[in-house]
Amino acid sequence: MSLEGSPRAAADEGRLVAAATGGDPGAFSELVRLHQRRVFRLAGRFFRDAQDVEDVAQETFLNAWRKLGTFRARAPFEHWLTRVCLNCCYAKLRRQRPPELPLDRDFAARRPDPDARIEIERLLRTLKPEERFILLLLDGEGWSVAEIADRLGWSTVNVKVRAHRVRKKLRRLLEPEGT
Amino acid sequence: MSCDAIRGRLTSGSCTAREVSEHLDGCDACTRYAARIGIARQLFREHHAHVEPDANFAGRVSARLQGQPVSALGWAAVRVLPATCALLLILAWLSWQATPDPAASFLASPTEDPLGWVLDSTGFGS
Repeated sequence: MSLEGSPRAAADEGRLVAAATGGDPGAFSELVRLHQRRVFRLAGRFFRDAQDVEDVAQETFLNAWRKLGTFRARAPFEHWLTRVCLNCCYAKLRRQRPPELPLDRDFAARRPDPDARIEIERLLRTLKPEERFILLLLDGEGWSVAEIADRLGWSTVNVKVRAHRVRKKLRRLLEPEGT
Repeated sequence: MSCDAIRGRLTSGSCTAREVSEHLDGCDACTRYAARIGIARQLFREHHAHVEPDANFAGRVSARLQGQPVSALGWAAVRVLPATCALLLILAWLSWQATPDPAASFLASPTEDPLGWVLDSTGFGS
């Protein structure tokens, strides 16, 4: 559910944001209801456990409330909230060492070549959380380097370097031995 | 195209189907690599919790917001902090400029004899 799409809806959202920035918790709750599904969907990309997703979603909205004063209406509220959410996901992933189990074992077992999938899952689990974070954005969300940089507020060079390094590592992991 | 180049392109996802198929037709090692990178990419695509917020989620966030400070004032203060610091520095500089320098006062005295100047200025010895 999103207000995006119609000028009236955008104006309504603008009023809610203005009221919330002024300290109106009711207006902020309305913003939570409008954007909660999007935040859950994004957080669900990085965490398999429902409680982790809920925690990150709550953290996202709490941080959004605290930082509302930094929101500039030049960009849609949704973009700003995406950045807050991604930063919460990144911070939580970095705190999780060793990394949480990222991939679905049952899913792997259902596939025609479960051995290969299980082995690759095992290899992917050796990636650092911040490396998986970039790969999930690139290959999971299908975002470009420029899109990731924009949505995270990182420089393009920073994302490009990280993407290059993690792809290099991925290749090293997946290349058959002796080739 | 070399194995190294084709694997680099397979890894970054930047190669065309024609380039790949031409190379893979005659290279078992790269065919295996292509299958593995394909699986990895699929695992990343399918990696999702598929969790939906329940009806009480917004309520739980609201409950946690109780006691949270209103953000606007705090961030307004942070935004004006540089200007505040600059203003304080200017005021400090102006205050320093306005303070009479004892050494300068001494040099500006009418005579080279401090005591004589005091005596002169108070009318003694005239």
